[in-house]
Amino acid sequence: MYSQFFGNYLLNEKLLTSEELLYALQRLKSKQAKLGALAVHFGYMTAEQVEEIYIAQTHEDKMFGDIALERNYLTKEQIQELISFQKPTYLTLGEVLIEEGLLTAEEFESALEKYKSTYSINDIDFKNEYKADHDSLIYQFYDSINPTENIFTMHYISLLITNIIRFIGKDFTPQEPVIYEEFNSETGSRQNIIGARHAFTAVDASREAFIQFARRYSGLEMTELDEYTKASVGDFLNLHNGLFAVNMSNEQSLELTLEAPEFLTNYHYRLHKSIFCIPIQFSFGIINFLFVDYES
Amino acid sequence: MSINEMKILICDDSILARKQLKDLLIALGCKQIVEVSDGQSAVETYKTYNPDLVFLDIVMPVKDGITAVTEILTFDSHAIVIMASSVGTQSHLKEALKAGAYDFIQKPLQKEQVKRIVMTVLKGGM
Repeated sequence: MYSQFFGNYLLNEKLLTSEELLYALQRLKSKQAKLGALAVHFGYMTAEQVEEIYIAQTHEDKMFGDIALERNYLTKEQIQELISFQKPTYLTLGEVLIEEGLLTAEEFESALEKYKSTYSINDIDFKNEYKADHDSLIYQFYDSINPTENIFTMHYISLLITNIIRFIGKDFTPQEPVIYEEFNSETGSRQNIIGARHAFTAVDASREAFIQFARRYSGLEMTELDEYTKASVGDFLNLHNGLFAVNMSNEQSLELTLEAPEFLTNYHYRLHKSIFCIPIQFSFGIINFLFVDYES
Repeated sequence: MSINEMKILICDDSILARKQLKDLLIALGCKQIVEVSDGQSAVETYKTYNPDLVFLDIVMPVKDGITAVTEILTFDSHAIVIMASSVGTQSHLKEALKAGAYDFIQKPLQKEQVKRIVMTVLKGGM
């Protein structure tokens, strides 16, 4: 996950333009193998078992390797072996940037070292990308949201980044969060979380980025803003919020339920509460994730 | 009753979820499938279509799955209603089962789960 934030660092340091980063992210997608694909390639798992784990990940927030271990599909040693073959995204990103002449090897190395020292990341963490370290990085990146006072929001954002990686792809970089009092949404889906704590959640994008996001999530060919694209984005929101509800029940004993997602165009949000906007830059455009904790 | 005579009602507000289930049912040989997108339409359609099996989503606009299953079972206490649950709907699911839903399956639906249900209804085992 560090690599996605590292992309943002390269932009802020003006080492890349956003066009160059987007191009590199697009190339990145075709260069990366998922753990499941590697497990099949090595003959450790069948395609059916991999599919079963992908489905299990839509029911609980767990890593592929952890579920494979629980179900005795992989041993700890096999997981380590597969991870060692799965080159970390930041290295693949570096390769692309160097191959394309966007950065020299020295510039990449120096930027990486500066990034690691700025965010106090050591080498081992950077390779293994532990969950605890994800959270600490996310808290640092989103410090303008005031993480210690907005734990509920931070749990939401942390899971959101994980779910984007799991269900959409790794080729994105988060942009600085923005706090709005009002928000104009061009094309979007929204869903309310109710129960022990109330929150508002939404996805907003340009029409084109909305369609591309829907296409990524569903894996289906989608070119128009129709019932299928609307359902796909609504389904992603519903899945992410559902997993958030399960985590909140398990970790915080908060029982949350969800209302049905709703599609909206050219909608003006004014919720009498600050709206946290989490913009994510994908290779196909920007998707804004909106979150309001009514009880903060 | 043969599989191509079985009347099935699918109710889900997501057109993608309906399509996924419909494709699985067609692959099993089902031919008589009607789709609706909210709980209110599910209740109304049940009364006129008289299906042998209903797949009902839980979180839906207009009328949710809990209210819909309760109304369907009030109209026909022998109705076979399977709740299709998304992640995060566990508390609703308990209510639905308490209200008389026969069983539940978790989304995304898998062919084997759907097949098991269709075969059980065919054998009159429910």
